[in-house]
Amino acid sequence: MPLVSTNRLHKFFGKNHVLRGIKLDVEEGEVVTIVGRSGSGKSTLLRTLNGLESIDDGIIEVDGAKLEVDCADAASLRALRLKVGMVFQQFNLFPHLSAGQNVMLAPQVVKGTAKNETEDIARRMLERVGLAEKFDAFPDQLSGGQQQRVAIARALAMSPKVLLCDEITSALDPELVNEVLGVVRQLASEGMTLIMVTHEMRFAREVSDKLVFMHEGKIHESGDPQAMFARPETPEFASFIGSLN
Amino acid sequence: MRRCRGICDPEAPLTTPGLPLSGEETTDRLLHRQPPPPDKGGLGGLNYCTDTFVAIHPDPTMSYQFDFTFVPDYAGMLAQGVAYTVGLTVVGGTLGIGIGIAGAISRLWNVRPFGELYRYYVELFRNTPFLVQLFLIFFGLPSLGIKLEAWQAAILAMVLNLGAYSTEIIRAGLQATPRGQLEAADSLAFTRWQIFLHVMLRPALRKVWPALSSQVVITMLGSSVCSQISTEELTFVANFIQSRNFRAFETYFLTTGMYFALALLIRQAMHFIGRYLIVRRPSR
Repeated sequence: MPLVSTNRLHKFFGKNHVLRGIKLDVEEGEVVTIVGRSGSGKSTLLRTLNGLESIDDGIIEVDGAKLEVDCADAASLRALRLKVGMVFQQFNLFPHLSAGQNVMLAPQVVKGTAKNETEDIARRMLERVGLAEKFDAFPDQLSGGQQQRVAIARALAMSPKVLLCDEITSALDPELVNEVLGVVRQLASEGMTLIMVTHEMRFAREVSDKLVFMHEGKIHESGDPQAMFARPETPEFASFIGSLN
Repeated sequence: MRRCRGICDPEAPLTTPGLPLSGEETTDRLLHRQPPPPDKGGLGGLNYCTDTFVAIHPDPTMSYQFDFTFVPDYAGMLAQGVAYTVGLTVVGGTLGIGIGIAGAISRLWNVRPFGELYRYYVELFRNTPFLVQLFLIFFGLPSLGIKLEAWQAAILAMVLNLGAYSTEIIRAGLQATPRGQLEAADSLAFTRWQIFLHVMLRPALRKVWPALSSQVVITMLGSSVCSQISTEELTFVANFIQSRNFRAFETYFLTTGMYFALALLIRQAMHFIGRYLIVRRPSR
């Protein structure tokens, strides 16, 4: 039984058929990287996995939390989101809260955990991303890389079953990319289930257990990243990796 | 021309409030009449007027003698007026902003049935004069069996008026919440109300706080209108004093200064509230 599974996933933006029947299974502890040209639907797929985008057909199941087209009510959305953490390209930290408060807020408000306990969680999570000393710093006092690491800590504080990373290094200055990738690499080595969309191909090749190439709203090719990069099976993927160099 | 107004009339000095010239004094000054100043404008027709004017006020540049000696007698009363105005503003401001917050979110999410009700309420109160709203509440509501004291009517009118304006101000702030933050909160499994309370409200208030502060000051200044239903606030006190001492200029001059000081004070208070209650961070 895979931890994350989607079947027959369809999504329209108006007349634009963005996802055309996605079937994706992710095992516990697996690191899956979704790549593809812009407009291929990779970000949309990621965003459907925690209900940020509604679906027009199909089913999503994460660790028993099910989301179907007909019964996508607030309660089942919340149940799904409790299992799925997400990190965004633009960090999206809450600007009025310190780094520590950003991490504490969700456990406190959503799970109703006691404040001193959430403070412990927050300190542990910030330590995990190497920002223990930034507990009281506000987002606008942090660099992009630091903000993104706080965002990762914030998602981790809810102890999700799977973490979605949507181009989390795309908005960073080149010299800050590595500190964020380092955190992701560490999470992967700790056995965290990760699904990410990224343009960092070398990183994807290095940490992923599975590579998914999306093309025109479908999973066009997927498998072991080393093998795929060495011997692309479809001309589309071959041309995609060709365009990277 | 200007100097002639009301002065050509020989009775004028005696009826002008604040010029308590006895008949004797007037005669005395008339006896020591000075020669008229040279005609600068070349309007010969004005000469007579200028003559009379100079006769009453020997030095045209010091045409009015300020007299604030009445102030100590009325200091207690003025202080009460100020306290009343401040009280109206504090209660009206707090409840008004409270109504505004509730209204803003009802309007933004169209919470039924409040969203629709707020829409009519906001339009009604933003498109009618405050004085009329006050009269409607104080003189109109008794017909429906709701009889309010003057102070109750004044507070109600102020709360409703500020509530309407602050609804729209705060709504603008809430609407300006970046989408990414809503998505982040969504992805953390917040409910709608948790998002409003913990993610949207404080940054929104922070964004619109200067506008909201101005509106509170405007409401405080507008409270002077409440004197019309005999609410004993500062303007009411001023009206009372000047009706006693006939020193309208001094009384309202003083009142103007007091309102000005109050406005600065309230602006400053709002600044501190914004800084410590909403921003809640040590330094920038």
